[in-house]
Amino acid sequence: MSSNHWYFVAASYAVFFVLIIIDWASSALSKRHLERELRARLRRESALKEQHAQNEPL
Amino acid sequence: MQSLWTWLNQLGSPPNFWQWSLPWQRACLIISLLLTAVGLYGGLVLAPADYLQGESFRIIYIHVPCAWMSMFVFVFMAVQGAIALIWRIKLCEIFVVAAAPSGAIFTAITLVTGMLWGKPTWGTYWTWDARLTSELVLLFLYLGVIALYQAYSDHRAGARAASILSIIGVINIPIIHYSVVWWNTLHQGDTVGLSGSKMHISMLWPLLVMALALKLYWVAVLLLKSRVMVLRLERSKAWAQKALLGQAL
Repeated sequence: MSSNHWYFVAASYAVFFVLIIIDWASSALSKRHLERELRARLRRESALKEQHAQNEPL
Repeated sequence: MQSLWTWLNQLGSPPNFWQWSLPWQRACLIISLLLTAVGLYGGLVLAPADYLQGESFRIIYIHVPCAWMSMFVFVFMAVQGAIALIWRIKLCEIFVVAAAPSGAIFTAITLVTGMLWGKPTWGTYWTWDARLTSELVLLFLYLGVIALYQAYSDHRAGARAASILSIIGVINIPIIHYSVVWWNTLHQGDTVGLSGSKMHISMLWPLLVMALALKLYWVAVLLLKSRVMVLRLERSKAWAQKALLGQAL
C-alpha cells in the first residue's frame, strides 16, 4: 500500500475544521444577534416609558 | 442528600446558569484550543507513520475522538432527557436540544473522515458494514431529534418529544459499540479500550490529547448553545434584562 496518502489526511482535517468552525460560529453569531436584538428592544421600551412619563400632565 | 439536591436545583436555575456558564465556557475553549495544538503536533509531526497504512492512519486523530464524542453526546442527551422528563428541570431540557447539533456534527465528521480513511485502506469509500451503518443511523437520530424539536412551536413540548426520542435512540449506542463484536465487519475491533491499547505510546498519546481537546470543545459549545437558548426563553424575565443591560453594550 502506498504511504503517500497525505491528500486524504488533508481532506479529513479540512472537513473537521470547517464543520467545527461552522458549529461554533453559528452559535456565537446567533447569540450575538439575539443579544443585539434584545438590547435594542429594551432600549426602545425604556425610551418609550421615559417619553410617556414626560408627557404625563402634572 | 437533600442539600445536594437543593444545590443542583440552584445550579440549574437559568439565572445561576447564566452566571456560572460563561467562565467555564471560556476556560474550556481556551484549554481545548491549546490541547488541539499539542495533539495535532503530536499526531501529524511527532507520531511515526504506520508500517501498513502509511500516512493515512493520521486520520484517526480526528476520526476516533469524533466517533467517541458522537456516542458520548447521545448518551448525555438520553440521560438529560430522562432527568428532564422525570424531574422537569428546565436546564436539562435545554441541554438535550442544545447538544444535538454538535452531536450531529461529530457524527458527520466521523462518517466523512471514515470514508476518507476507507478509500486508501479498504479500497472503497463506503460499505454497508454494521459499524458504518449503525453510525449512519446515529446521524439520522440526531437529525430526527433536531427536526422533532423544531416541529413544535412550544419549547417545552418540543424538548419533551426530543427527550423521548433521545431515550429511545440510545439503544443504538451499544449496537454501534458492539457491532464489531456481534457481526463479522470490515471495520476493525477496538484499538483503544478501558482494558488497554494495542497502539504504541508514541501514537497513542496524541489520540488521547485530541479526545480530551474535543470533549472540552464540546463542553464549551454546549454551554454557548445553552446560553443562547436560555436567553431566548427567559428574555422577558427581569434577571435576563438586567444581565443584558449589565453587559458591555
